[in-house]
Amino acid sequence: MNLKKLLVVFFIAGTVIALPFINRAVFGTNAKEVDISVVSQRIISPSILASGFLAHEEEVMLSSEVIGKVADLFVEEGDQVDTGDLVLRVDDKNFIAGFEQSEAAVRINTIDIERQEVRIANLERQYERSKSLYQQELIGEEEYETLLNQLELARIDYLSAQERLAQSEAQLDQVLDQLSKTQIISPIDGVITSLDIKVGETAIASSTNIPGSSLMTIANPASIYTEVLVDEADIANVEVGQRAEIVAIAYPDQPMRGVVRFIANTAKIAQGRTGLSFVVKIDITDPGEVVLRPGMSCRAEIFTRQDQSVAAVPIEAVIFEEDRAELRSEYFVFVNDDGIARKTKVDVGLSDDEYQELTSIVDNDIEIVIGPNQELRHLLDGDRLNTNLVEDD
Amino acid sequence: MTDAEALQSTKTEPAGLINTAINIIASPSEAFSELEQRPTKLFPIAVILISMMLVMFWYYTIVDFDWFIDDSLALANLSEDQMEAARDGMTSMSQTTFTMFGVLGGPAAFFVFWVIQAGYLSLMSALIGDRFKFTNWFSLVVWTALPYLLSNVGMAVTVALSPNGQLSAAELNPLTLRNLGMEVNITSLDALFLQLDLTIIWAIALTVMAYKQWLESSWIKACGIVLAPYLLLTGVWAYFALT
Repeated sequence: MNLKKLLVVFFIAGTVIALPFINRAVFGTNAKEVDISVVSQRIISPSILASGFLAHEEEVMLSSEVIGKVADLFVEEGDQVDTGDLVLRVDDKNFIAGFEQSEAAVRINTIDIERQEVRIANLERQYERSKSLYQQELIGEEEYETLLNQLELARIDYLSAQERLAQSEAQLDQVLDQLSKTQIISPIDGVITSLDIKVGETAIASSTNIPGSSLMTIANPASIYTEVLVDEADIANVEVGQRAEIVAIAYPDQPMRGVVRFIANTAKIAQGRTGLSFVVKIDITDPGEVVLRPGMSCRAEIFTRQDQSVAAVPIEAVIFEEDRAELRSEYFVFVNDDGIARKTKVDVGLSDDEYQELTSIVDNDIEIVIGPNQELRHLLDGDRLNTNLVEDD
Repeated sequence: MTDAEALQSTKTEPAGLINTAINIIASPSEAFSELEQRPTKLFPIAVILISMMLVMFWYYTIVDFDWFIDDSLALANLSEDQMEAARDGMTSMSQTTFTMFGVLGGPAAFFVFWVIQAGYLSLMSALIGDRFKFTNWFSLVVWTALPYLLSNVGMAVTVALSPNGQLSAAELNPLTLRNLGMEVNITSLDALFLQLDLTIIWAIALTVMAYKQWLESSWIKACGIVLAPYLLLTGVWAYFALT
């Protein structure tokens, strides 16, 4: 075998083998482009998150107590109404006819009483005369007792007529009440938020959710509040009076301010959830530019503790590692040690959705790798770093 | 003199396979003469493919799998939704499955490429009417691919030098044009430089030389016939990449 050829082969192979070494010696291992931030005193607002919707505290759903076609509708959706305003009238022809019938019955019974009174007066006079004649033994006992009996029967008839009058008067009251129920009156000051019936449709006296049973909904727009469901694990931290920030889904960039007003006593399994949760009502104290509409989905952040100034880093910088086999869980951060990543175990304290308190590293000015996530999740102890210092807003 | 007589008159003593391999690198014309007489195939196929499988197995064994998935997706230039879907798909596969695809996929692709290349050259032989058959061309293309062994060696060294398993598939082969410093801002051209390495160019050049030597043709004809499929592929790629 020609030595020269072998030398050529070895030279080429040697060059190829040397290439990665040369590359490494000249350029080193690739430094990772990372964002860093210094540990500094930051305000942490411990909070919990809950989702729910906007609702009206003062809200009434009107329904009819009588069955009948809607004759007049005096409002439209969005109209402002006051307490006592007539908003809807059900056709009352049948009820008026019934009223007149009952009124006539009262009158007939009144006349009947008058007739009974005249009859009794007449029989009393006859009785007095026959009594005198009987005492003088001018008439027999049988004739006297017959007259007495007629008088007592007339008195009983009188009582009966009185009861019939009372009965017909009660019927008249009943018909009047039915008649009055054809007039639907607003029980509160508010706005028509939902109008579920039209003129000509039949209003149905029913509590079931069938068409015609609900006429309209009136709500007081000033009484809007947020109702959220707080997980039972978080409820112990929630108290009446705590500050909250509410974000309606329709206005994701316009948080509203609120205060916790009510915490339900009993936990319930809400629709679409598996765990127990408590209803928490939050008054909206400052809606900002948000146009509040009941039913809007929203998310509320309830600040469970006072703002605290602590040594903290952005929350994404803290890595949680868990070893279930050894029942061990630890938190780490990557400290920038002059361009080299050093994985450092830390103890953590309070946190919110932005920052995590570090209780074991409290020296300000220590630089911590905070991102980007794609680099951070694969960062290893000893990796070279190209750093970009990110200042706080 | 007929082709058969010409072949008989130029027959030489058989050289060893190692000798042919060294000649492919250091003295290609001698290797081509040897291959013209004895179109062996198994040795280069075995050496290239087995070394490639071993290197890929080593790579997929040491690579940080989570990091590898993110790195592969970062190269793919996908939207965020596509990226999530692709990540879900990739993470649903185990590292063993990935290793299997990596170890078997590359060699299988090489083998198919060789068969196509040899098929094309034997088709051209049939059209021109020369004496070379598929077996001759297949032997030639697998032997001229032998420089790829150097890429495998380079990859093995790169894997050995990787400190933490976070070694990108794009940085594995030190002989790709991109890893030799040819970085451009045009994405499609950069992707080409990422795939193309010196040994592939070397192998093509060897095939051209062998064609010229075997058929005693001009450089232009040899280049034209051997490079035609590559030029066609490059043209199609350039059309789509640049439009």
